[in-house]
Amino acid sequence: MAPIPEKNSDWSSLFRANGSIPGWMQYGTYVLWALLFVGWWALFRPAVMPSFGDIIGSFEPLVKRHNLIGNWLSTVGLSLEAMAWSCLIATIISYLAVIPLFRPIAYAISKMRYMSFVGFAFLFMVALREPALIRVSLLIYGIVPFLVTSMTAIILSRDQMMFRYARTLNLSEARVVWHVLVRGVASDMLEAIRQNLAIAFVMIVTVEAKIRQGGGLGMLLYDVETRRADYAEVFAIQILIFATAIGFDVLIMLANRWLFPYAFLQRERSA
Amino acid sequence: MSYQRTDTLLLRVNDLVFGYEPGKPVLYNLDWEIRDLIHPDQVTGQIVCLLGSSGSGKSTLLNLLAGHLRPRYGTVEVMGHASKQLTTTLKGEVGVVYQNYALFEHLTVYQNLVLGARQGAVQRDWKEPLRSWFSRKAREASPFHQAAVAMAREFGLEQQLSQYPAQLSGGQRQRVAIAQQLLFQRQILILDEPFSGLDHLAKMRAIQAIQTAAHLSESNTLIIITHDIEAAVRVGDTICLLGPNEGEDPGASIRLTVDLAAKGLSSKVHHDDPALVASVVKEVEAFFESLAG
Repeated sequence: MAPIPEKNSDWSSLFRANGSIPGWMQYGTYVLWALLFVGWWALFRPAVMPSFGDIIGSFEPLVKRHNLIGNWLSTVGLSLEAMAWSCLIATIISYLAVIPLFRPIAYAISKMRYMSFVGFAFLFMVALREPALIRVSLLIYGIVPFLVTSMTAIILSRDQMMFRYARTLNLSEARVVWHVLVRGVASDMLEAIRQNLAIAFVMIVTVEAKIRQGGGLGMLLYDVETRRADYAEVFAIQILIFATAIGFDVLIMLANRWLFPYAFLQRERSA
Repeated sequence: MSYQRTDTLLLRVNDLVFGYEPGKPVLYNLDWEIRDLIHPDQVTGQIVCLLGSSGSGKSTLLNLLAGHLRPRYGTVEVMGHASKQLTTTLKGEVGVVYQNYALFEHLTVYQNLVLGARQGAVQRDWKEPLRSWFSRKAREASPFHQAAVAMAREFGLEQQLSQYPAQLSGGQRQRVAIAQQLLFQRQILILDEPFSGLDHLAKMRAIQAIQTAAHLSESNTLIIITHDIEAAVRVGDTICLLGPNEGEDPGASIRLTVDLAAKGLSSKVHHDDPALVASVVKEVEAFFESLAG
């Protein structure tokens, strides 16, 4: 008997709306688009853009003369610290939103994602003085509203039926919250953190460029762009930031899969 | 087989009024009683089917019985414990298996069942979960472990104990949800639309699971909320029909009660008399149509 294909490996599925294709075929599409991009870059890139060789070659002077590794470590440390504090603060605010009295605070902070910290940096400097503290605080100011928006949406969209179900088991209110709102959404919360990690990396460059004490890739990028206008180095730093962020992204996804396997079973089933 | 209705009141709903909007009651002047049904020679639970068309207020009545909603007027008595006028029944007194078979997705089948058993314990020992967590020996000696494993065996779920709910089929999930509620050891368990969206074979399996649940203990009473008349006739001892009130009265109330046990169609008996089943189905359908007309 011929083996039953797991998913439709027919080529026409590649072009069908919401088509389902096997994993090898899906990975193949990534490789295809990557090759097309590399080909376009090699053959048709605008003159202002550096070649791959120039970009790779620029890593050596960046490491030797501009302390790329030290700056990278500084950026990683700052992003980890800011994300840890932001997650803690956003989680507290989001869970407070369950109580109607505190809900306006969560909504107000959520709306603050429309307010850039540019312009407020001076206030932070005056209030905090310590450069490291100013950097972390600015990042928290920038990240928390995005995290609160995602986390509050997850918590408040929890099905009312799950609360009723938990209460039919005569669980205390604390245990209802624990099972329905904490353990029940933990995987979604981690996923929200993963998705909002991008905001942290977009902001970190701006913050490091603005508050230069302590170095970092943002400061280095600003210097390379404005003082030397070396676009091979700019691209090299951008690629390093991109790779670091993707690394974090993958690590959080793997941690989520390891910590909450049931959530992925649910998603795979509903897919 | 002789069945007897006793004077023991399991559930009494008295003059119940409920609506979501002022002046638009969903349920109005609803009176309903469920009395114990016994068989002198056998262990038998009781299955009461509450029939009603979509939007008739079945789910609202479920939430009122389970204590999730408060009646605007009237009382609900569960197992002789009268709720105060205009108050809800005690939460947790009535078990509910929801339509989508709600379970804690982050717990395995075993953990879900043990949770049900622990919550049903009269006396709680807060150290027991810790002991069970750290020591396999303590876990296996725990009465909750033993009850959970025995219940899993009863419902054919031994192979699924280590699985998460997301790994189960719809039928398995339904059985876990029923088993969890039964482990709580409550006498009234409501099942919301257990036959909804099931094919014939799955429906027969669901009927079997419900009958297993009802007859595990003399004191088990299952209220099945459904709009499937044939399944209700096949599984129930009593059928109650929720329908719109007569005349000018708004809302719905219990309009018809059919004592299937008295007609020789009891949940304990395998319904192998298709003519009798068909005639009762016809009778209920005719009443349904008269309400719609």
